[in-house]
Amino acid sequence: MSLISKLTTIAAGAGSTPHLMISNVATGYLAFYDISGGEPNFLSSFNSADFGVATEMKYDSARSYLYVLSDSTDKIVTIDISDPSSPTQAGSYSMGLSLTPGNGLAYISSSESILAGSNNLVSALDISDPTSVSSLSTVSVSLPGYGSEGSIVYDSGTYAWLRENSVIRTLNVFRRRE
Amino acid sequence: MFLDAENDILLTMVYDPAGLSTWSISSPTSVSKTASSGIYYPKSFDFSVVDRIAVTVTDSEIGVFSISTSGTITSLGTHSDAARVDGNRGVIYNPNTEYVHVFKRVSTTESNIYTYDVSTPSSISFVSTRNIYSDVPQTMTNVFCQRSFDIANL
Repeated sequence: MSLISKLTTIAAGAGSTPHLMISNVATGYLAFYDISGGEPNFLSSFNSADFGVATEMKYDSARSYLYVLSDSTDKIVTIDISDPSSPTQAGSYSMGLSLTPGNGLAYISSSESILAGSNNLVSALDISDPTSVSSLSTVSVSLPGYGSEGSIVYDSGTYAWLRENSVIRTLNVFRRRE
Repeated sequence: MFLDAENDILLTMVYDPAGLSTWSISSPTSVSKTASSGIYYPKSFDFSVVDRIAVTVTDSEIGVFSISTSGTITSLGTHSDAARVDGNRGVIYNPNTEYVHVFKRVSTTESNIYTYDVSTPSSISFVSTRNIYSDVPQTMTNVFCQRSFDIANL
């Protein structure tokens, strides 16, 4: 029996609807491209200068919200991309600590919570209302990963796996606090 | 890092000769390495659970791998293109078109998206270049190189 019931990381979809590529460009801009035809077709850009460079993004396809983890502020920002030609910021949540590039971000497909990795913390956040993200719980992690090495995947409700840095090369397993 | 939830397999990639690796999850607290690709110094990778294809980029080439449901990694093909793929930090694979899109910062102000056709992994072909400077009208000083792409259905 499968331990994990549903894939929750964002991956290439296989549906018949057009695909949208979401690209974190640099220095305060996100760019959105339609790649359903093969080659990238530019749709829009979004100025994210007020929350810095987005280093990790996850897409909530059920509600067309994009969750962005910034490296230069302490925020997770939600962006409404129901109209990808005109994305708008819907809300933000301050983690209360400094974030570094490469920390992970994962979410549950039920659109109820999101898991964020910070410098030495893994936090579960309530995203049932994307415009008003709030904290559920936080756990402290030793050696949580560094630079582009750290990342998180999250199963359908209970466990998260966090890969530590390339020197430690270990995987941590966390159980979400109910 | 990707999670193949149907088969309890994790995929990771580390910047050393271990490269792309798979891990079997026998229980939440028992995660053991299943296989490693042995590719050298990968910079980015993407995985599609739909067709079990993983795509990697290194300093000089694109690699296409098949990931079995037991975690076995099989190389399906590579494509050397050092002029375009050095220092890449982002790649996505679109299973619908079987195209791979690779991001590269080409100067302090400009970045490109390179598109490759991997429908025949043993014969990967370059398709096009898109310079995104005109899409994102801002001088990219102090650029933090793009780390990841996401792709989703709308």
